[in-house]
Amino acid sequence: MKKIAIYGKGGIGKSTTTSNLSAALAARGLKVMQIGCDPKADSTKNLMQGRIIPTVLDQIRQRDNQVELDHIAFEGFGGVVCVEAGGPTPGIGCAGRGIITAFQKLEELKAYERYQPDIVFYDVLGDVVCGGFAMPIRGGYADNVFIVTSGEMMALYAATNIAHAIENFGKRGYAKYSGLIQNSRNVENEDALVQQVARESGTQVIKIIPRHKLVQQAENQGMTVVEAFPGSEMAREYNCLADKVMKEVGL
Amino acid sequence: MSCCFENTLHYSSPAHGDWGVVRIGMLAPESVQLFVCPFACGRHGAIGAMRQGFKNRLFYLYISQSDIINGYDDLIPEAVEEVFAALPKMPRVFFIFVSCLDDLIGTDHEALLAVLGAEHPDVAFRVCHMNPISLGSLTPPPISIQNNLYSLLEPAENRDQGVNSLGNLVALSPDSELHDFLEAAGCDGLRHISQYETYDAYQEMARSRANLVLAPAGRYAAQQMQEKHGLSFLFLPVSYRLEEIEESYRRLQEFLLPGQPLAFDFSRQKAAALQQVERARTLVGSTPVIVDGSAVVRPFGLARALLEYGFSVCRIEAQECSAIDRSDMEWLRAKHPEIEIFQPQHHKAVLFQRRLPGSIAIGVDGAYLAGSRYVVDLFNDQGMFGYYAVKKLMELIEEAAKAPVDLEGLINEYGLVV
Amino acid sequence: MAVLSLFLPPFSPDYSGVSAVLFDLKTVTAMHDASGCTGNYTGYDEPRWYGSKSPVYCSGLREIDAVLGDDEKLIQKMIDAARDIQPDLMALVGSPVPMVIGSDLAGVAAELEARTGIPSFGFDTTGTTYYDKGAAATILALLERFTEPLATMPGSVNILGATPMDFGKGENLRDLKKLLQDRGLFLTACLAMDYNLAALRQSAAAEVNLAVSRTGLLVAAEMEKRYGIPYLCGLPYGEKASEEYFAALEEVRQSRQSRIFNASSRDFCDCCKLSAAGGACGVGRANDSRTAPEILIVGEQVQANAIRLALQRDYGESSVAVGCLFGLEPGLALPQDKDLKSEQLIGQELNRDNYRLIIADPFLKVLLQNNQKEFWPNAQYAVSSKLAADQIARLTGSHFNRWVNLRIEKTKV
Repeated sequence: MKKIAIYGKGGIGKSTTTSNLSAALAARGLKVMQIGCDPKADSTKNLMQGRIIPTVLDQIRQRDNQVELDHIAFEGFGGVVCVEAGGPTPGIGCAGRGIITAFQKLEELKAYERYQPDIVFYDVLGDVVCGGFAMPIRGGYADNVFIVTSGEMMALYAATNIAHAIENFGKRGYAKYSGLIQNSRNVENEDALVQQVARESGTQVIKIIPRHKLVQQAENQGMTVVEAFPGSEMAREYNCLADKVMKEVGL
Repeated sequence: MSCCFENTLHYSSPAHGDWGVVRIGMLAPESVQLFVCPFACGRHGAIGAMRQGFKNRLFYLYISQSDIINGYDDLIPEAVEEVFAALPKMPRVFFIFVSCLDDLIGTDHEALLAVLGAEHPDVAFRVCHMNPISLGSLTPPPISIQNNLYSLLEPAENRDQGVNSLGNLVALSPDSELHDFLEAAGCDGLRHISQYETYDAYQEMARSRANLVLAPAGRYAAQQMQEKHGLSFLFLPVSYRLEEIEESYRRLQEFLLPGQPLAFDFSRQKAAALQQVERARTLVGSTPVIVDGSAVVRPFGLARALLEYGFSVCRIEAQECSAIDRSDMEWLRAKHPEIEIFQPQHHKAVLFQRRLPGSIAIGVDGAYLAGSRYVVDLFNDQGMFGYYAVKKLMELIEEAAKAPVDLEGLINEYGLVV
Repeated sequence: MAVLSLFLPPFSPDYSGVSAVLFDLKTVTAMHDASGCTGNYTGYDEPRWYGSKSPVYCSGLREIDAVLGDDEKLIQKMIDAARDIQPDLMALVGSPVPMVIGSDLAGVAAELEARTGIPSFGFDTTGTTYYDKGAAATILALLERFTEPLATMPGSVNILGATPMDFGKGENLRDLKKLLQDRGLFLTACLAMDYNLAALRQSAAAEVNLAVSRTGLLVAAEMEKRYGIPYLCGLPYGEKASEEYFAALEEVRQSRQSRIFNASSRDFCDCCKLSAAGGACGVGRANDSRTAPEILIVGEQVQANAIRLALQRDYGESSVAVGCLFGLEPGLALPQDKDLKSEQLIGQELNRDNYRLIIADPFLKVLLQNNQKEFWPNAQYAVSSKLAADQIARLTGSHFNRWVNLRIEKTKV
């Protein structure tokens, strides 16, 4: 089992990228699990026919200690096991702690033992990296971290911050920083900007994903590109990304 | 004397602690307290309250991890209603306490108070903090809780000639000459929160002409009262040095009756204090004395006083040196470099090295760490002020020197919480 | 979910359980808190604190360190303390603030160990669960680190689950050790009171584990998996029941099969000569007030079970229910037993008409509305702390009979 964390600034296309990755790998017959770690709880919706699934935290809130795995884990496209950690109502409570609690619940319910995934993706909001949002890169969780970014300033800034967090944990023998995934926004000089940030933080850009309208069209149908337009050029791009990721993590 | 307070892991001796916010908050007449926190945070306060007999005014809403994640603001009004339902009589004051973790998740207290206040206009609601995580800030728990207490006073239309004592948790001893001095200065009694049994009676303190702040933890509350009530205050920390006491009275005279000659002759009190100093010193002789910060607010000041009276101070036990004690520390450092400064919470305290079983310790923490068999039963300057304080302290020293004490029993009696 | 508590104090939390297990060892242990959590442990959960030299510290966590996640400050303080204390191991113990900010104490411990070479542990306790969870997790972590499988030493036993929260200063444990000695058995390790690192290492050699509390059961089950040591879960309270206990222990030694030493529903129904479905003792019919249990024992489950069995075997009291204050372990429960999760549930149960006698911590008496019921206090440190330490009943072996006889005499008077 390989555990991979995908970080990035909110709205940068992490969930789209991760879902397409999950779908591409599932289509190859691998067992994939995708865990959304964003209070918005929409990481997996394009694997679930557009359906927003109940979150772990919602279920804990409603069912107290009676939560079972079937209440929080759902199989979507290609048998991808979808989980959303969830979060509090915006403006109150503690979203970071929420992620930790959700992770602990998954372990308590022996989710990894039951589904035996080959690959687990953690799709993590990267605007804030407090203790909770750093959970996926801590001991026992992700083996590798990829950061999704565009050439936009704020996205690059977030990417740099996340890279720092990974570096801080380096002494503890935690997750390996495996590279940037460029989700192009057609910003001027984009490739060079992202390249520069990669160089500065001692990593590489593993794949440049072009901007394409098919992504939006697939999402309008509640699907990934891989599911909706399997023969398309864009699906090939995501498959190529899947190859690169597999190579990086040694599968 | 070296001056290096180190920031280490903290050792917590069985004699470490103070009143705690629960007990201080309970000074508010007709008040109840609801703690909203993980259950663990409430254990010391609850057991302490059971010992002191006011658990019937102390309640808990234990929050779970899930409540913390989702925010618990909206659970509080219902819990408040349940507390009301369980009480034989409506309280006038309702303290809602939150703990350290609330500081980190930013609960909207103002909105909560607005909801509760609208529902129960006859009850004064306050959000209080049991948040030692804020130690080192301007308003750590011992200070913020005093402000909570005095914030209950509503501005009065008329002033009278009463004077408030703030900061001291126990009322000044009736034997202190401060009472006589105030009377001579035309004041109508020294008021203290502990003397009031009802909320309405407590409002008398809002009519006082001035605040005397006898311990530093009351200073912030006095500043707030100055803003809210226009009530001026004078900070007069307890001292055991005669010249400082004299100076305190001079300042007080100037504060109450500016420009007028001193209204009181202290010679009798001063003589009595000196006589008692002589007796105690004769009895104690060169026995080493430990001065501990649990006994007095200013251990360096007390050590200086004792040295000036001819006692053999060998150790000052203090975790840090407060601003008002600093000049005395400098003095000691210059004149008595041989005196040891011992940090009771230093990680090395647990090694229990440098024991002094034959010493007299002023304060239980100092006694515990040094293994002193002779202990002066004084905590936090309680009841002390003026020449009386010197006389009383000497009596206590004399008493301590005569027979070994059951230290564990004494510590238990104090009922300290950390 | 949020629970209101109006009359009782909060019970001992998980972080106190961790610290109590580490108390006897040469450690540098820091509770990661501002002061109050450590104060709970040292002041109200640890009866051995006065006069001890146990290096359990408070990290002195401050708001700015929490907000900024400044782990380095903590690490440096630990290293400084280790220099002076020269510990065998170090531990970091979580509290509510580290829970909220998601402190990675296991990670900090790994870093500490890498920098000092001293075995280090991080426990992610939160102050939102009870002491037994913390204590069990700590014993297991210590075993995992220090205890390799060993050849079995015949006649040797471990006592598992000994904490001050369940046993105060340990009088009942000392009595138990004496009983074991009288029967020619010897003790390998008593985890975790009055032990040291050598005993912990040796514990894998025991022939049988004696789980004396729920903490002990959690540890025993894991030790059976790791080291193949079978366990007996229970306590020898009461003369006749103790004989049975030691017979059961002998049986576990012979058969190598673990056993929960407890009354069974069958025991109760035999006594009233009716089928299990409708015995007069109320088994299977607990909701029927005419036949529901008459005696309620509230507290720690293993100890309460031992009192129940002793009442039955030594006094013929067959209609007894147990109320669990810290969670109900299904494997230890009879059908009539209750999980008393909140003060409200405790109050409801205590006040049921069917009970004529309540055995519980004296603090619980405040919830009794009807003073016609008999109440026998048996204090538990996890509930009433030092305030009722003199009411911790001495119950091991025949002490139980003396305790009950004294109560019966008092009632007659």
